[in-house]
Amino acid sequence: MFKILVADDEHNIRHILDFSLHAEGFAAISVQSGEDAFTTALNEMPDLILMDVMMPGQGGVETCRKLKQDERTAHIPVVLLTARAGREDREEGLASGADRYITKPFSPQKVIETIQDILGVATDGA
Amino acid sequence: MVYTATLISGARPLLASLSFTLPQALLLMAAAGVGVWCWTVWRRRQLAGATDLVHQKEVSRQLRHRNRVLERILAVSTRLNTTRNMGELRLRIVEAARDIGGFRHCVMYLWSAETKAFEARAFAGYDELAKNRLAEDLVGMARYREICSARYRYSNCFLVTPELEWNDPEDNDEHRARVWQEGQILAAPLINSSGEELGFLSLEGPGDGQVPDVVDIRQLEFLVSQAATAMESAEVYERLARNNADLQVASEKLNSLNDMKNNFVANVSHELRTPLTSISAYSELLQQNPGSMSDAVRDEFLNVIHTESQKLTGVINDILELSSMENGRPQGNQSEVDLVQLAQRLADSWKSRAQERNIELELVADLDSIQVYADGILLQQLLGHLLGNAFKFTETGGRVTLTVQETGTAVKLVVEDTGIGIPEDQLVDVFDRFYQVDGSATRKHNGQGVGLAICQDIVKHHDGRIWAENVKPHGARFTVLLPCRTQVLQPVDPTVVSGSPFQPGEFMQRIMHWIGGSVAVQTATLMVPDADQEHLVIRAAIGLPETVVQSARVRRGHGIVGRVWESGETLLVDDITADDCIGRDQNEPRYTTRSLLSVPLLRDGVCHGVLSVNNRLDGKPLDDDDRLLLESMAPMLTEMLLRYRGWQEDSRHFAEIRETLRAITTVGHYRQENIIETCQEICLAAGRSILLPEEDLERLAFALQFYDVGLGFVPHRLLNKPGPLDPEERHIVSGHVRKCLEVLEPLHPDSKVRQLILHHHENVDGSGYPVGLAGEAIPLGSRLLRLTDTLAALLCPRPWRAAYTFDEALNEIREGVGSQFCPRMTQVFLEEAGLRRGRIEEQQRQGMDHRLFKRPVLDPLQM
Repeated sequence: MFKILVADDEHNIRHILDFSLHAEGFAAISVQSGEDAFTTALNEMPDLILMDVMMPGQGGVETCRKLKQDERTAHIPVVLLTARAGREDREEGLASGADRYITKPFSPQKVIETIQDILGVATDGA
Repeated sequence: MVYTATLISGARPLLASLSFTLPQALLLMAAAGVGVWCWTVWRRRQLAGATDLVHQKEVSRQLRHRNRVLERILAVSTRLNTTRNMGELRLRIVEAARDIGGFRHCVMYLWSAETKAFEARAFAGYDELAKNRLAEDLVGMARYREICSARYRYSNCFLVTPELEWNDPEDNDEHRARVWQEGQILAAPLINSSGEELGFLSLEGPGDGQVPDVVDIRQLEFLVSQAATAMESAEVYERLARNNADLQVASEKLNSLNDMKNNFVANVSHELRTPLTSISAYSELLQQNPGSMSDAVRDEFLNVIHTESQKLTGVINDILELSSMENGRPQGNQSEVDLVQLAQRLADSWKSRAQERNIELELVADLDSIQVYADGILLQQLLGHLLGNAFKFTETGGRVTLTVQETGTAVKLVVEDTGIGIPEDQLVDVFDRFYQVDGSATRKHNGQGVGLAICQDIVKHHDGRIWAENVKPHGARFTVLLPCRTQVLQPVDPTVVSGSPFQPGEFMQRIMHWIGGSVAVQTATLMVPDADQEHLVIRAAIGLPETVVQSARVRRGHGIVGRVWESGETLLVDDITADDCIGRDQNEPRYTTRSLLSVPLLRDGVCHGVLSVNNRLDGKPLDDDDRLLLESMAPMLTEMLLRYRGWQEDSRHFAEIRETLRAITTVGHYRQENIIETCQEICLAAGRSILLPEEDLERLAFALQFYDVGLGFVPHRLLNKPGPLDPEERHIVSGHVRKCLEVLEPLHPDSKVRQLILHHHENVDGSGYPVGLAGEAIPLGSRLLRLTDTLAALLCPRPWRAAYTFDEALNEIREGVGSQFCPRMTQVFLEEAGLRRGRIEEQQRQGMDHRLFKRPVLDPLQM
């Protein structure tokens, strides 16, 4: 079973992502901040990280950059979620090494499909 | 000459070598005769030659001297063009003119558009006392024209001699060539390239005691023309530099505004998208899994959708609020509001959220009820934003305190939290519209950063003040001060008193509207004596039917108004229906109250009219407060009335009076008039003790009355700003001085009064405004005004600070001696102040007890 790390400071968003991931047969761990995301990634070695850009303290972009610079976590795909939809925001996000960039509001189904696409799993679930 | 002399002397040996015959002798005699003749001629010629030689030497000496002078002029003119500093340039010019003209003294007079006179701006060869005298001595346009009149013309300069002795035109040149007379001055006009008269140099005391000759004058003129050019370019340069600086400020402001706007758009987008994400994602899940979802989960989802929709509405409301800020708020929604009650209500509504997040919420109010006249809905919004803000930035386990307090001059609302605080350098910026503490991609806290901007707007709408500060060990404190005013002090409604072209007769009508609005009455009547001086007729009124206005005639001594006219004393009667002098139907529904207040408009013991009001808007009887307010307005009204007579046809003045009125109303807010009067008295006493002439004392008295009316045009936030002003703010504040002169224009102050007012913010070290005069160049009266203004400001309380005690105020002033204040004037001023210590302290005590600051002008001495 794939293990997905979800990092978002909005309780509702974490909840909906957890819900959708579980429904599709993923295991999900959720955290509220960039710092937590980094340490949890090191401890848990998830298969993929779903991360909000605007979070308290260390934001998603910064965390993603750190993850990609650290050789222990560099291989983990990162999908950034953001409510900032500007072109610069997208470019900055992708420049940090993120694999995908999804803007809010998003469709949970789309998020799942993106994850499945990156992990190369069949659409009918793992 | 020399050549001829040599030729003749060469002929002598030739004659001596000849032998004698008669004819020869005759010839010789003849020759001798010729020789004697020749010798005489030679001798004469030789003598003349010596004189010529002396003359020639003299001419060449003079030429060499002139050459040197010209070389110096050239050097000086070159040097003049190397400075861009106006003050320095002026000094160089007067020094050069003095030296080149061979004078002991030179002073430069420059035209000032503000004082409408030529002011002495640069001196060479004068001691401090003389500079002082010159700085006071303004040269008006008439005097200038006299100086530059044809009879004084001397080359292109003007040689002004006090008593005219050369009535005989034949005597002119002769006379001028003679010795320099006591009191004579040589005036050299400074005219720029476009022929504009900038001013003139005035030279006195030639070193050789002689009137300079025309050649010397020409040299001086050459220098002066160079000087005028140099000044012109320095001025252009200064203007460019200033414009450049203004542009710089404007461009920086635009840039930061643009940044803020971008940030705002991004933030708003985030604020909208976040709840939207939940709504769309949850509803999508609900749609996709209609059967497999338990009721509990579905309810939970629906609940999330509902709350998030509300959040979205909140964001949209805030954005709408912004646009209402742009467009200005309506005035009409004000009423008596109990702030304690309001705070209690808000605290209750935040209680559950506080418990949820384990934050302690405390309400502190030292009174059971604090009434203010305000827009209750806006105040609720204000407190809501401040509390929301405090909660947002306070971590779990923290504390939020809301305090409501009355300070005597204002109502104070304080919201304090134990949150993260605000970076010190951003304490002011937080009120900017698009600002948020950690605004960029990383944000700890939600909110699009408009809440505090809305707060500031609401506070401003109430003429109050809001500021932020950090508290130890951590947390932020927001303080709001609202002036505790009743509905009496309404700002003048610009729509009532502005706009349309001037109509004779309408002006007084508008004044009546203004009075009606200020005293909050429905009916206000101004009656003035008829041509026969036996009856009063209505000059202007509001709230009366046109028929009454046209027909009313009150005989002197009859009825309430007639008695007020005769006695010159205010009457406040309880029952208006007892007065039968103005024809009216007693049952007319327009009388909401029966009390009537009637105030005489006195000037020099003569009653020029009677102002009466009735029908208070709130339906209560008129009281002593109304009487005081109306009486305090009476002198100004009298002034208006008297001036109005002269101005009826001049529409230009209308706008100016309007501005004056507005300025005066706005300035009134936090003044304790009796203290200000004492300070004015100190100022005049100091003026007397330095032996200012009587007419200058009168000017000073006039300036004291009006010097700060321009303040009405300075935004409140700047007047009340505790810290130093930034350059842009300084620019605005310093503008009030010039604005003041504009406002006073209808009163036709003379040049010296204008000068007094213009320079009353100059500092002795030259760091003041608007001109930056220093030391003795600042008029004595302005220096006294500066001290008076400071002392009065210190002694009166401000909403955000208590009044300084007498000693504190004096110490504060002593601190500024040498930088802000002239040491000599300060000494005299403080001596006079010391004599009035007891009275001031008493007035300060009274002020505290009676809350005199509610109304614009109230004097307890008249109570």
